[in-house]
Amino acid sequence: MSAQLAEAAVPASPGPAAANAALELRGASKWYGNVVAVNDITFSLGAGITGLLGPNGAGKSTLLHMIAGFLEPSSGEVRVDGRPAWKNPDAYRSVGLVPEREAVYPFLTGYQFALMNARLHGLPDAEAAAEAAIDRVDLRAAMHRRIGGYSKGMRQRAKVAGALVHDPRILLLDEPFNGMDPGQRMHMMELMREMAAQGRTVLISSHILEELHHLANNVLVVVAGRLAASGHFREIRRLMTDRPHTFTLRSSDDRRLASALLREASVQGVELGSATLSVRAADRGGFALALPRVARDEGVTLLELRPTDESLESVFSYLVKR
Amino acid sequence: MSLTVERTLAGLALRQLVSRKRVLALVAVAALPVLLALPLRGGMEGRSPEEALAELYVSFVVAVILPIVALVIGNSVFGAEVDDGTILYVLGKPVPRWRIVLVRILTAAAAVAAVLVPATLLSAVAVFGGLDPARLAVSFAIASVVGGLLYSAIFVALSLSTRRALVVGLLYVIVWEGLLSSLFAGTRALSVRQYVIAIADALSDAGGGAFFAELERGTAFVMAVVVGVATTLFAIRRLQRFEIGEAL
Repeated sequence: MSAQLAEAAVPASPGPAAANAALELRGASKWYGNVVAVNDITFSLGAGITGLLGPNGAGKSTLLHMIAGFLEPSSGEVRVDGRPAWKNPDAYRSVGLVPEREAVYPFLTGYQFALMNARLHGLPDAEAAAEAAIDRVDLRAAMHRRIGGYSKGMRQRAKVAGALVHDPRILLLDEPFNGMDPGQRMHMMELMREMAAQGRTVLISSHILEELHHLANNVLVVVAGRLAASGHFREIRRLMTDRPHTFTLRSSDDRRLASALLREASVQGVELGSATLSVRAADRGGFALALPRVARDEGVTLLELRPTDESLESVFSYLVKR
Repeated sequence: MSLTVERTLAGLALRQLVSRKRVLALVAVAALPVLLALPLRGGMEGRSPEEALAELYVSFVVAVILPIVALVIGNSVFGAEVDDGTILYVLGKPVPRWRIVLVRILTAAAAVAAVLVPATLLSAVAVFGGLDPARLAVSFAIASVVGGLLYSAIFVALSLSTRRALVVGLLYVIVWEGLLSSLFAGTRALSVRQYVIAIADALSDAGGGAFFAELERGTAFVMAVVVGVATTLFAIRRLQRFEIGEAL
């Protein structure tokens, strides 16, 4: 998986960083006592947008914090621009991180926050850089208001402004679209695409696959601290849809419907419960067409149909077991 | 030499430190010794005003006010950022960690001095209507600034080492400096309170002994330097290895 991953995750398109990976992880793990948060992850990334996908608690934030040099790898290596990320403050010249955690200094205005970041980066014209970052995230109208009074979406944009202020070559965003309205999301996605087009490396974490749909060509799937899958967005999408699906049914005659469904090629198995019928379908599309036909032919009335394993966790669990 | 980074780091620490409630509390604390000094104008219980003022400094200002103010301030310059994770915005910058620690310790020490120096000098004014002729107040104020710096280094290091920094700091002040130092002479060599008293004694024009120092002067100076340097280095090391994860 690792070799395939490295191949898939480094974008094929030529870019300034494509030849030399901007980010590189080799067997990186992080554990706290007996709890393994990140388990033996290897990949390298060049220019472009990569999605880091996984359910909540999968280890995405831990991984991003390791890449950002905020966590020491328990084993393995994490390199940024060829140098270790851990205990290397100089790396922050080329890295910007937007953490998932919401807390931002509530007593600062959006502009003061961007300015504070610019000054700590030692930028020669910190005021101009802060204003430019505020404009990039479309926060000018509220730039002189205190962050404590911001909405969640505005706070997210202030955090992005702080991370962009020094024009980093590598941008790490942990669930950046949380709390943003559709318009703000579109604007932020446009900004990410712009940065990728300029040859920068953008790594975005999300627990929602569709969020990455129009943004990231390459996706890394993390489940329970391990890299479960990687590759092109379409390939990951296919892995997630072409898998057995389980549905729960209620009908006027569950027993009759069950025996009829078992004759269908799209159905792998059925299980009769006390008041429901559970159906495992090998092909979701085929089952969707077969069910109404079978019900009509058998004279059975369908009362309820719902997928039972559509949670993202179950999809990821399936990917891990493959 | 531009000190933009240092000014920004200090400003950020002060903004977090300065809330209306905290300022009011600190002003009230600073006013306490002044109020207690008012009845000492004519001396007390057979002691001269100078002796009574020295007693006030030793038994109240350096024993209670200085460590408590330093504990609250020293614990705040990193504590709030560590608790809510905003420390990430400071540490995620190309600034060596030793610079961050030094600025924060100095900021805390300056804030402690801003409370202690007026409290000390105004106490003398309350007794003498001006500064005392033996320079007790000025000597003690200077010693308090040194003590504030040492306490700040200790409490900043503690805040980077444990989530119970306030409790550990209080235990140090009450148990180590208050109880053990009065029982075992050896523990005084590791007591900031004793350094402050010894330095004040050395600086005053009262001929030595005005503050009843229990630690030999040379020992106090050397140990003050050793403790200050050691705790600062320890705080730097803690920040260099400081991890920010989800568990915070």
